[in-house]
Amino acid sequence: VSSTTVPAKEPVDVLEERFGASADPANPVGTAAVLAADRRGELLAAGEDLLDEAGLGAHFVPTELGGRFDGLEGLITVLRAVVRRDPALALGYGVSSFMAGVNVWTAGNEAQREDLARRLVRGAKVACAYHELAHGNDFTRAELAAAPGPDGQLRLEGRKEVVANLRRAEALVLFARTDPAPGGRSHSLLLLDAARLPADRVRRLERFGTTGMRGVPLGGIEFTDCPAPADSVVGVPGQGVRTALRSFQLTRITLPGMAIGLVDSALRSALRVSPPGAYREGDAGQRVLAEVFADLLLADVFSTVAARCLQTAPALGSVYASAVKALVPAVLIDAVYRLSILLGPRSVLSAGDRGAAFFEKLLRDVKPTAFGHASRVSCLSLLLAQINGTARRSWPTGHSAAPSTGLPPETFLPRQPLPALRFEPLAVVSRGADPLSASLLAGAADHAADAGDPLERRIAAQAAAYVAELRDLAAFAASLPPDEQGPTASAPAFALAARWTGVLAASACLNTWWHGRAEAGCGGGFAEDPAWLLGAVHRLGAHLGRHRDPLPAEFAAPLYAELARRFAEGLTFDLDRRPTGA
Amino acid sequence: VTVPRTSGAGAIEAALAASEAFSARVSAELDEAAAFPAEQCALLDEWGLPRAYVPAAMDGPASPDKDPAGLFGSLRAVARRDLTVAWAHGATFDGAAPVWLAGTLQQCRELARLVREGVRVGSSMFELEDDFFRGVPTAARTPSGWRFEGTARWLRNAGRARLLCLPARTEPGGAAAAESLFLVDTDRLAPGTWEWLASEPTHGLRGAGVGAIRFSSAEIPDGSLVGGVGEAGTITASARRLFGSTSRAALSLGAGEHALQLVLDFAAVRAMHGTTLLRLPLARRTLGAAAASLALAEAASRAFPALAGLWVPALVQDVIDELAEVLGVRSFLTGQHAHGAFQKLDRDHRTLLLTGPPAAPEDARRLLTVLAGQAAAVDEAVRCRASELLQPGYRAPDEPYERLLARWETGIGASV
Repeated sequence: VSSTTVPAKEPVDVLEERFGASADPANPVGTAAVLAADRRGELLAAGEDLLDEAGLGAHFVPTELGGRFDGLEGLITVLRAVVRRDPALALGYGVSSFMAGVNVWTAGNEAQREDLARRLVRGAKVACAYHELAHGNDFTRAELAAAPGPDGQLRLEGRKEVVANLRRAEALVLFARTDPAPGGRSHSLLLLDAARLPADRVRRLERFGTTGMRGVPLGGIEFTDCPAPADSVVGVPGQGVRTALRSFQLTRITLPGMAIGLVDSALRSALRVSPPGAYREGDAGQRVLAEVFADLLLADVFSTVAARCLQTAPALGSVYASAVKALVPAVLIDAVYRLSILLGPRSVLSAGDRGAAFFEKLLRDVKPTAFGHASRVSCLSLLLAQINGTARRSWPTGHSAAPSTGLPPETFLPRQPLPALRFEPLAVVSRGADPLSASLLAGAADHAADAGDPLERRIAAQAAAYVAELRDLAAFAASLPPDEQGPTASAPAFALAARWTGVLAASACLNTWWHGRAEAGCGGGFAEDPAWLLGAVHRLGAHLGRHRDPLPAEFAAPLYAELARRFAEGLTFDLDRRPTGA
Repeated sequence: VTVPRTSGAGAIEAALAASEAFSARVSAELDEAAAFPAEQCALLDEWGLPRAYVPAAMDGPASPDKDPAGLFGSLRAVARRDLTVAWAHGATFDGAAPVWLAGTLQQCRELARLVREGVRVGSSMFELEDDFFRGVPTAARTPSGWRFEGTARWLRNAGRARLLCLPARTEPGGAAAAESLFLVDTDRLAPGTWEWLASEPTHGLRGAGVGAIRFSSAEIPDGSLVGGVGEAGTITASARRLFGSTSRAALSLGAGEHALQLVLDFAAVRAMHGTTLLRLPLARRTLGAAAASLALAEAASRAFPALAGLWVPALVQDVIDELAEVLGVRSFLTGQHAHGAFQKLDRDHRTLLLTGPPAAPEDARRLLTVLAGQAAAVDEAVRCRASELLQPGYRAPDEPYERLLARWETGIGASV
């Protein structure tokens, strides 16, 4: 054991070094190579080699199984570095493997977990085969059937479509109907070895073409009376939906969290096309860039808090993961669209060095952030199903205070140590607990008094506004009739769920600020400038439709200055503020 | 295909519906190959669309708001099928407009004859005062006309147009007043003095190629100057207000209607939660609001023709983005659901949107305020949608949107 005091390089730093400078035209994993691969509709081979060598697969495997996965925050940091270079590479190399993995880590037996862990650490691809075009994100209606055959084996019948890496995957996690009855107990998960599927019972469907993420090979598979070993079932038969709802809490935070890297690169690309000097001080262009920066920070703070929450309060992920997947992708997509307006026609030129060809690719690549994995509406549905119980149990209604307690402080301290991640406590529903909202109430009460200077007063005012929002929400939600709590609910009922995501995001921002301030020496510099907080909360209000005001100059100016500084110094625009060659 | 004898939007619409050349499959193939829709443009010529590009009276400035030949409706109908085709063919209208406005009677008559014959006119793709997008050649006076030198960039119909309406620098220096407008007839240029340059690949409108032309001591005859020396900027700006705004709004609205129709087709058959997606209240509200936004865009095109070209595309892009969410993965796949028509029109429309500047916020507000307040003249859904866009937090009742959506469901919504 070395006794040196030099801190070990983090995996993300190693990855950044390997990727080198994006702008270098000779870099085999630089932007020119990324764009060429996109035009060919291929994943960047040199990028895949690099990630193989870096052992990215191990980051999908829990440490107790020999991998390097010990929490979402670390994984997101690593994946975000790949996304900054090429979102398609990140998705196509292995995010689908991670999606398959979380099912097995959550519900698989020892042998299955070890089998999958070995494969992923080796760098193998594993497909996560849930999707059927006829049912989309509504996987409770999936039709592909696995029925017991006369020989005790399962017989597979049906097809899966638009599944990443299906053709080259060594193994697949297959979501199959094991009971014809409707409802949530009719499906099971199967872990299948692709090499052992009888060739005459399996048909590979033609690749699905897409407008963005063009390199990601999306395939389909059709089984015809195909045998599968009975012991391939992952977890308890009939519990597939339950396993998905528990394990996908991880991926519903990971995907939006890593997609922040896309906006990071979109911002950098925009600044390359129109460098900071191109904008006059305080003009609309500077303001839009500052707004997008604030959008990025908002997205990062919310997804980081949710990621950490899975370790400090793992039983509550059903609400917080859904809230992140409902809110963050919309913020990110809007940010990229706003940048495209700012860049104007440059953003639609897909070749040449005069335009922003990389930006044009990002404009296409950002789209699946919305519908991929789980749509905004499907996530709002999950929230809507829990809003009434949560309001009655945990929110302040009338004059009564909220009974529940807030989250442990370390939830709001990015990069600080956390309890180990555990899969067992992941729960399908949160049973009415909402400690993130409770943390908002507690923080607002604690900091109402110390509002001495004008900025503290503005922060306190924002906290008070979202406390009032929660109270207002509680009044409606607590009396929401049962027929308004499901997917057939009215638009105003869905709006309540969307407002809930706003309260949770506001709490994440405000508490990250309050706890960061309390922790002496934490952050420092820009992190201690309230511009980021007030900017992020201002943008949150815009995304929620609470107002349509431009970002006030007093926040836009310092945010833009910080953005320009990071651009000049080659630093990322997220909370990490880390050196990047992107 | 039966060639309609009458002109106007209705005839074009009927011909489009019957033509295999305007099918989703062909549209997807053209886009994939980034190929110019030559056959489609020829059919539109045959069906008489170019007649709509020529003002009824040639002896004075036309009044485009009267829309005598059904320009707005025709371009909108083509855009409902394929925005790239409408953009490519409609370039002639935008390229000719400055001549209708500022040309001599002789220039107008000659251009009218050529346009009716199906000659294509090219013009600058981007309506922006941004040097990045303004490759401008120089024009030096000669005894018999002008000598052109240099490259004009970002041209619509590049490589296809016989005529080009473009500014050239007639005085050294960079001031806008130093630029004059010319209608260049490439048929009358000496070989070797000009050439088309390769077109630029773009996000959308891919087949309509953004190209450039390079002049090397090209002699342009005297009668090519449109308006006075130094007037390029003012003429172009007026032409965009009086003519270009209308065509731009028509293209945008047609694309938005295409998007809504594609999503309705999907939602009507998509089984969800024991019913169809189209019958789920949340989706109905989203689709109804989208239909109302499109009705609002149409009302704005009538009431504010000079502003609509700036304002409508931003509104319609929001509609397309919201519809994409309802369509889900099918808004992203190239080979599914009408051959990936949605992802194509999304790229096409975003490209259209970014070719022009947005409306000033105060103009947008004025437009919405007027349309929100008009009682009898506009549909209730239009008033409701305008009010929603004016006031954050205001939520209009469902009924007007429901009524509008019902019209779309019975197949008459897009031709109110």
